[in-house]
This record gives sequence, structure tokens and C-alpha cells, in this order.
Amino acid sequence: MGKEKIILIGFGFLILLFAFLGIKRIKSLNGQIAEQKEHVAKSYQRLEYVKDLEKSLEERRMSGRVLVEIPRAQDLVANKVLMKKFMKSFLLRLGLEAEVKVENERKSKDFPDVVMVNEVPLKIGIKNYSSYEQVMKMLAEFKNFPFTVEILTIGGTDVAVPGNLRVQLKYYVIPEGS
Amino acid sequence: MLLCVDFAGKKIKIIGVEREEKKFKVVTALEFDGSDLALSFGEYLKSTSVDVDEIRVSGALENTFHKIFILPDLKKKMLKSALETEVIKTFGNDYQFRYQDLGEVPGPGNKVNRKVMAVGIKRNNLEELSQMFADSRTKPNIYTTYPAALQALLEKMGILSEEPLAFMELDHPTGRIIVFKGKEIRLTRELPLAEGEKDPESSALTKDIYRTLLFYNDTYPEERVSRLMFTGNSTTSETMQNLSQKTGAEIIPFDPETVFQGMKEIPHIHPGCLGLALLNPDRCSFGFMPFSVQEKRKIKKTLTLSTCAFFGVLLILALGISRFSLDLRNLSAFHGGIKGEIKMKEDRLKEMPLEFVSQSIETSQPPWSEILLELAAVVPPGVALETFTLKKVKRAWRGEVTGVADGTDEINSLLLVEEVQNNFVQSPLFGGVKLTERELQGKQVAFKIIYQLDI
Repeated sequence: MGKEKIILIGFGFLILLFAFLGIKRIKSLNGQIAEQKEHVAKSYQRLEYVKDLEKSLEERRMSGRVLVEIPRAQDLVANKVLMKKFMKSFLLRLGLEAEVKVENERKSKDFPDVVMVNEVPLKIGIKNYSSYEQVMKMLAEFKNFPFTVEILTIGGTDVAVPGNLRVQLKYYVIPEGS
Repeated sequence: MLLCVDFAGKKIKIIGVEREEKKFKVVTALEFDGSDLALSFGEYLKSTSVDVDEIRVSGALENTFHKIFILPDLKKKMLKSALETEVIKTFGNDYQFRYQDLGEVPGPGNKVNRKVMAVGIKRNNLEELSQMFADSRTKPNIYTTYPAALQALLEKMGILSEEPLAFMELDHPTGRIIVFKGKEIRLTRELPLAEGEKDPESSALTKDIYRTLLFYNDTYPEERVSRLMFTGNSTTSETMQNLSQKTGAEIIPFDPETVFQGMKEIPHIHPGCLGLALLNPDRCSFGFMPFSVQEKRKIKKTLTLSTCAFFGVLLILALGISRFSLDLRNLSAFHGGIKGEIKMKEDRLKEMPLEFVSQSIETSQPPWSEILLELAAVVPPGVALETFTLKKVKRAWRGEVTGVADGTDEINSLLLVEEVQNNFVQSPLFGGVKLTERELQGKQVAFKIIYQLDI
């Protein structure tokens, strides 16, 4: 084999090798770029969401539509008692006699980690109500407080508390110092 | 300095020429003879290598051929192939040759032939010549034959014409006779010279030249050599006159001073070397290159091209990689910026937990009053709901109602159940409505409908 051919083959091999390695590197970079673009798109979406949320919350703050928080004590047990009393009197004021079960406060999973919110699960069993209007009034009143209804049943047994109208609620608490 | 070297058999003739635009000045002229030619020449080359920027070489006449061929009018490639066959047939396979197309000549009938002049030099001789410059800093850029170089000189001097000219360089111990006609080198011959021949009438040299000219007349009977030109240290006026009388040819003086300056200051005039100085390496038809040098040049060229290609590919890849790396870096920086902004916003959101909760409740709670009113509307008379449940499952609200339809008979009860179902389906608040249970209880029908809220 001539020297010329050896040189050509040698360089051809080197070119192929470097081209292979280079193209591999470029492909890998391309892959990383595509992945990064996806991350950027997601982050951008998230940013847009957070921006909208911030704007909306700012507007809410400025409009003064503030929820009423129930007075709380330092002690957890005392808090439970306070909550039960509050609920009973709250319902009684609406003409509803109810049995209330208060569970332990825990970290809420309904909110992103951005905000620290705890929840207190509540179960209410109302034996008698006079009309749908009374129920609607009760549900409307809930909106003034940081309550969220999870289950509402009339005549059903999905909520483990005696009563004809049963409601499972969550009371959201902003932990002190958050 | 341009160094022109003529390997004239037993001598090496050298001139050094300085070129200034179109003027040539001979600055040195010398010759080597004796037993150890190669060694003396090698020493000389070493001593002058610094001043030499170009070398041209002509080989010894005995190792060359010059021949006119008449070939059929063929295409260039085929003509070359035919010529190669002719050359091999005539001179064997030991020669490297080049050719010049001298134009068309009439052939038999109406055919046209081509006149081609081929000039060859022995391959071994070329390699040997090349070897002599192995240690030289500057390598020869052209190898040719003595007659080809001489032709360049005579052409420049304006002597060549269609009248045949015999040029004789008589320089002890050898002489050379070349016959030119126009662009053709018609005849070449080396003449052995004996020293001290006093009688020009009977000298072997005169006879030899005369016989050569007679041979030319035999070969070309319609032509005769009409002009003679002499040069060389062994030329005598007697020889010239004697030959002029015998052949009736005119003696043309050899005067290269019209082309070269400084001829008077130099001790030797080497016509072959002067011709070499006038050659244009790029346009010379009879420039040779030894195969070993050609091979080396090819390898060098291949190496250069391959290296360029390699670095070209490397450069393209490097540019591609750096471009993509920059893109990636820019994207990362951009992403970092977005993340930073998100973090800032999230920190701001942390300061508004109550608003967050308020917002969440507002957006996640269904319109209870509307639901209860709609529920009352979808239940026709004759149907009693037993249970109503609405439950939040992840982000959706799913519910079920159970009840009893009490028509006048089973069919009416079933129709009532169907009506309830239809009312649910048509309601804008309820979706995914399915009647999952339907049971006859006497004339009554108990049923269960599941649904989800469309909010």
C-alpha cells in the first residue's frame, strides 16, 4: 500500500473518529438544550401562574375581602375546645342544633409549599333543619370564615357523625410566625 | 540567485544568474571536471546554498531522446496513449517523456495527422540527478534536456527559423551537435573530441560533424542544413571554415550578450545553462520531475490536504460544539433568571397566606345555593329524594342522589325515574350523569343517580 493511501486512510479514520465524537457531543448538547427548553417553558408557565396569583392576591388584599379568623389559644387542646364551641354557637345562631367533631390540626396539603397553611378537619351533624334556605344560609355563612366544605350529605352516611344533614369541613389556620 | 546546472557527460557546467524583472545577468560561470565530479559539485552546492533560491538542471545528452512522431489526429488522451506506445516501441520503457503538439500535417488521402515532438530522459538518470541535490537546501524545480534548454536560448536570440540550423558546442573532451528546424529538435548527437588536432582538413571531429550533417540530409532529403553555429573552447576558426566550405552553410556567430549581461566578465560560456535560465518552469513543455520527487510532492500535497480537511472538520465541529454550548449556557442563565423571579414572587406570596386561603376557598367551593335550587327543580312531583351527597374528590365534585319514584303503577314510576335522569342530564350544573341503580319495589321504583358538578 502506498504512503499516500496510508495517509489518506489515517486521516480519514481520524476525521471519522473526530466527526463521530463531535456529532455525539453535539447531539448530547442538543438533547440538553431541548430538555432545558422544556424546563424553561415549565418555569415560564409557573412564573406566569405565580404572577397572576400575586396580582390576584394583591387585588384581594386591596379590596379588603378578608376572611375572619377564629380566636385561637396557644394550647392545641384548648384550640379544639374553642373551635367546637365556636362552631356550635355559630350554627345555633343560624337556628341549627348540631353535633360537632373537631380533629387534630395538621399541615394542609391543599396549598403549595409556598405558603404554610394548617387545617383542622371538622365534622358537623345536624339533626333537623327547616328548609333548604336554612342550609343555604349556613353554607353562605361559611364563606366568611376560612372554611372549605369537603362533603355535604343530606340523608347520607358519608360523614361519620350522627345527623340528617352532615357536613365535613376544613378550617384553615395560618400558623403563627409564618 | 538562479543556479543553472548542465550535466554534460564528463563535465558539470554551472552558471549563476541574477534576475531583475526581465533582465538576466550572469554572475558566475564555472565547470567541474575530473574523476570526482559528484563530490566537488556537492561541496560547491553546500558552499553556495545560502545564495541560491532556485536551481534548474539539464541532463546528459546520452541519457535523453528527442524525436518527431507523426500520429493520427486523435483526442488528447488517445494521442498520449498512442505516443506512449510509440515511445516504448522505439526507446523501451526506461524513459520518462513529455511531448509537444506541433500541429497538423497532411496525411495520406484527405486525412490529417499530427506532428508531435517527444522528449525523454532516462528515469534512472533523473533519479541520479535528483540524488545529487539530496543535501542541498534548495532542490531543482525543473529537470530538462540540453537541447530543450538550448532551444529556449536560440528562440530568445531570434535565431530559430524554418531554415535548419546546426548548433555545435565543442568543448573537450566532448562535443554536442543539435539540429533545429523551427520548433523541432531534429537531430542530437554527442561527439567525442580528441585534443590537439591541428589539421582541420583531416580531423576526426570535422569528419564526424560532416558525417552527421550528411546523415541529416539523408534523413530529410528535401532539406539541407544551411546555417551553422559554433561555440565552446575547442572550436577553432579552421574547423568552422572547413565545415562551411564543405557544406556550403553560413556560419552564424553565437552572441548571447543580446540576452544576458555580464558575459564578458565570465570565463566560460555554457549555452545549455543560459537556455535553462530562460525557461519558464510553469510553461516549459519539456520540464521533468523525478518520480521520487513527484511522489514526495504528492505525499506532501496529500498530507497538506488531509491536514487541512482534518482541521477543517475539527474547526466545524468546534464551532458547532461551542455554539451549542453557548446556547445551553444562555438557556441555563435565562432559566436561572426565571427561577429567581419565581422565587421572588413566591416569597411575596408567603406574605399573603390569608389571601391565598381566601382565594383558594372561593375558587374551589361550588355555588351551593344554585346547586340546592337546581336539585329542587330536577325532582318532579311523585319522586322523593332520600339522600343527596356531594363530595370533593381531588379537584372535582362528585355526588349521588337516591330516591323513590312513586307513580300510579310500575310503568309510571319507571317513567318518573327516567324523567329525573333526563332532568339531571339537561341541567347545566350536572354532568356525567348515570343511573346506576333501579329497583322495583311494588309499584314504586327505587333509584340511584351519580353525577359530577360542571363548574
